[in-house]
Amino acid sequence: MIKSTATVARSAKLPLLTLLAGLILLPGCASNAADYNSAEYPSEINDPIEPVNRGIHAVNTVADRFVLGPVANAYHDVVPTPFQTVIRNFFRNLEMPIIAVNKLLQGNVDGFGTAVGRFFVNSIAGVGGIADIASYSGLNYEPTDFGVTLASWGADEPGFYLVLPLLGPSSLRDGIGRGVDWLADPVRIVAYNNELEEEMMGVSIARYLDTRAAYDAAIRDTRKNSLDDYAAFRSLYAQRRAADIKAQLGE
Amino acid sequence: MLRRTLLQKICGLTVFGLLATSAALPAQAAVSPDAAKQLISGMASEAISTLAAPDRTDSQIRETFSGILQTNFDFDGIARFVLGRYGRTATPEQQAEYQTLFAKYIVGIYANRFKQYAGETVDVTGAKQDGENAIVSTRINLINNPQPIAVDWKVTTGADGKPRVADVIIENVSMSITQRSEFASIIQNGGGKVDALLAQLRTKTASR
Repeated sequence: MIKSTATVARSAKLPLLTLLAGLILLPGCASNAADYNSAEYPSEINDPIEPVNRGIHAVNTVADRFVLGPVANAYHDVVPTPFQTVIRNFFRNLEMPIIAVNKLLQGNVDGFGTAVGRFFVNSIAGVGGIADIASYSGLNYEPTDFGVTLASWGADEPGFYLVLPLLGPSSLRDGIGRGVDWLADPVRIVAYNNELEEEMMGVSIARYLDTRAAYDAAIRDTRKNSLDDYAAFRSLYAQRRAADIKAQLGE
Repeated sequence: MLRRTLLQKICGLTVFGLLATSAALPAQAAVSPDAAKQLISGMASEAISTLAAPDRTDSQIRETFSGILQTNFDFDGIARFVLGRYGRTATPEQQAEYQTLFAKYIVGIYANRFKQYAGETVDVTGAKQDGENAIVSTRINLINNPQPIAVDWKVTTGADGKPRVADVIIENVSMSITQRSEFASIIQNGGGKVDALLAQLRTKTASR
């Protein structure tokens, strides 16, 4: 009967999004020439180091196609879903301290309280974070990062576009944010002081695979259908990030 | 008494003047949220009924999408927007070829995505005015994922005066802006020549 689409269903939202596309779609707009450059549409993305970025993108693409993507999909397909949920709960719980710090720096006292509350509830009642008990009492997972904190302090422009090795699309502001988050992460500091570097690396890898698998359909679709996938990913990232920050800071 | 009459006259004249002016304006009326909503729900049920048919073939899907695009989308406006400022430097021949290739390109991509349809459903969750346009919000419910996808449809007035889709915004990502950004990049890297884009579109559409 109807062809089943494991690919579609398995992925998280963005991916599907492409399918949704199935529901029609596409670009467009303005019916007259005057609108071509209207302020409503963001001007082109600032990308002064495009040749370097393209080089990193090319390497990332090869690494992703042959190693990271297949491994992420294998993780997703082979590991039973309940285990994946447990693993996701665990690494998300470890993100809570640095999220709490960022919420506080953003002046978001409620968000700070939620993150701290989650960390204690899930670490204790959730057995070291493997169960997300906190969500049942409304303490939802609301991630943030130092890039958002910088935006809240007035860096509302992301700065030039940056492709990070293995991690992919970013920007000057958000790249700095990632670095600061890593350095300042209380969990990482405690772990490193207790010679748990490898365990932390394992946590990071699990998080990477989980995220990568969630975006699989969107990534493959973009690669397949784009004429210039570098430019497509650049635009997708810029739009998503801007919308996400806007939603977080409630502007 | 006299003053009041005068005021009334002035008001009457003003109202008359406004009516006369608006009647004289081209019929580029704002799209009402209700009309936009109707367009989107109609389109969704049309698409789903074709896609859910058990014996659908690839060429049927292609035809269906092509038809949906023609009747519900402001396709010329979309094509122009996506080409952006480079549209002005293109010759009439280039413009014409671009329009043809772009339509082929888009139909190819979306027909392909339609093929993956597995029973997703669409809920129209709201509609609001946005200047001359209307934005219709929908939720696409997936089959094996409890988290729906948020899709907004920007509906404008088409060249024929009817409501037409001008942009689709999936989880805050505008398809038209993404496409425009990609085409601009190809043209810039091709020395600012529209031919660079046309060449790529030719290759891509030929291989389908």
